[in-house]
Amino acid sequence: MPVRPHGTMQPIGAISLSQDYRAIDVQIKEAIQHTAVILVFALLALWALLIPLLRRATAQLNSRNRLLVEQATDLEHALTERKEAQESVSQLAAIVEASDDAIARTSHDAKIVTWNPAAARLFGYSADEIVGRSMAMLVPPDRLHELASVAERISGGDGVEDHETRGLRKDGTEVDVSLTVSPIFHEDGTLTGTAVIARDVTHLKRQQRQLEALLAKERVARADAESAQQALAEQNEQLRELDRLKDEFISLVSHELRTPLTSIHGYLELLLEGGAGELGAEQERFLTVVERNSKRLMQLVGDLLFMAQVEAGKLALDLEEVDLNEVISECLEAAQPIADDRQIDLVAEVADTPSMLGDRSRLAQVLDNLISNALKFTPRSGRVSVRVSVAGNDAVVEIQDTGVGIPSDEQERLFERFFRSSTATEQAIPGTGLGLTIAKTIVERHEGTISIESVEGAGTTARVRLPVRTLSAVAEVAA
Amino acid sequence: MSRRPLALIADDDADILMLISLTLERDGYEVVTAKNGLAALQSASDRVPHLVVLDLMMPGIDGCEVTRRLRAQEATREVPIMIVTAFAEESQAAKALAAGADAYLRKPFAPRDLLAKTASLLLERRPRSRLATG
Repeated sequence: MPVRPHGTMQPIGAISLSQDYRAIDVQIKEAIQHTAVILVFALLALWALLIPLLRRATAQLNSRNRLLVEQATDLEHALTERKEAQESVSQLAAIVEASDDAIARTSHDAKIVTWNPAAARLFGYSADEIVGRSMAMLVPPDRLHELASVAERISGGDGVEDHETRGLRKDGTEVDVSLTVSPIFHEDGTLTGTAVIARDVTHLKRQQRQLEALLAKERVARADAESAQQALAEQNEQLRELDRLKDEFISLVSHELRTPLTSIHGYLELLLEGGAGELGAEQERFLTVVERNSKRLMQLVGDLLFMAQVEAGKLALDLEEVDLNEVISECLEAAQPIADDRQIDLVAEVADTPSMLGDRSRLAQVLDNLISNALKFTPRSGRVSVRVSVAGNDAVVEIQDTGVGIPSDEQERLFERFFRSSTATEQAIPGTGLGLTIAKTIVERHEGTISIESVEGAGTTARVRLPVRTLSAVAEVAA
Repeated sequence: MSRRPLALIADDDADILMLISLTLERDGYEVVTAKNGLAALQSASDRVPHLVVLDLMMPGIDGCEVTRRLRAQEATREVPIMIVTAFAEESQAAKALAAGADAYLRKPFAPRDLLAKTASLLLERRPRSRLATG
């Protein structure tokens, strides 16, 4: 251990320098040791005293700190809530401001407290003019009782919703409104006033009135339609009755006209054949005129009855295997006397046609009609040719004449019932105007076609196409 | 007894009755006439005819009914029957044929049409039994 110089040392007790240094060392060491122990103890004591104090102080600080933080958070929350509340209030206010519906708040005694722009627009009063005034100002005098009943409902805690009524504007005019009034309660449950929403339903009312008018019109139209329908039904009934009468009439004509015609024609034939003795030339000539006209009459009755049958849907074909060439030669034979009489060259060009399914007498009627027409409209010394050919599955019969032809503007009307060409009427060529109609009907019932080509002054060609059907083919189709 | 064939004609129209009579007489028939259906049936039972010509529309018993009754009797079961009518409808023809008539003639007809039909009827007459089974 280092030794300190004497000069700096203080004598300790009765120790002398001369004494052993070791003793001094021991003393010093002891003193140091004592002091150290004392210091250690002192420090320990101090530590023991201070630690709890410090702890308590820290704890106090901490808790105060927490309190402050909590208070700060609460404050923050409160601020946020307030801000939010303010925001929602201002949003609500904006909605009320912007609303198309008139919105007002009234006090418990029906004085107006708030008044939005839509209310100003609807009623004509500005907020300044109306706030503080009574709701009664907005009600037409004749509807004030409604206000009382609304007030009664409000005081009972109820409201009214979409009540259709009329409001009174500042300018004295009235307006259709749909009214909703709700009570407003204070937190403690007392009634503080009402919220009033009035919607302008003028437009809606107008639409409603228009709709009602339309509905009324529709009802009228419906009633009209019903009566029209009834009238139509009655007319239909009358038509059916007429149709029945027509059928009866046809039946009557059929029996009552054909029977005397049979007599006239039959006795004429007997007379002309000398059944009542030889006739003088003059007698024969006159009777021939009578016979010709009786034939015309028979033809007319026959044609009319044919059309009536067609219209009544009673035309039935009597189908059999028909040799078209045979039918044609019979028709030509029948027409030959007339051709001879008029010095018309009546020629036939036949081809080998297969026998076909058809109504023999009806097909003969078609050819008779067409050949008779050709002869009627061909001047003396003319030519009428009947050609038969086969084209594909069709048999084609063409009756061509060198006659007067048909004006082009009349050609498409040829098949109309009772249509007679101007040539026919001008030249007083007899006919009913039914021949071609009948021919067309018969041909079409055979699923064929008929057409007429004509050049005025040069001649006419009638063309009939008939499908060559056989019995077996028809049976196949039917099956 | 005449060797001429006997024709029974029934029609309520006297003019037609005479016309048919004259026509058939001139063609060589002996003719008996009846003005209605009942008279025709009576006449047929008195003397069985070789040919019967009946008007379809007659008061009382019509041509179809007369035909049915003639067909029901042994003596007249096979007699050729022709029905004459003014009706144009095919249904009337079908009715007449269904009643048992062999031919059908529509008015107006010419005497020669009538003769053509009667001639073919007598020539081509087939036994009724064959028709019934065929």
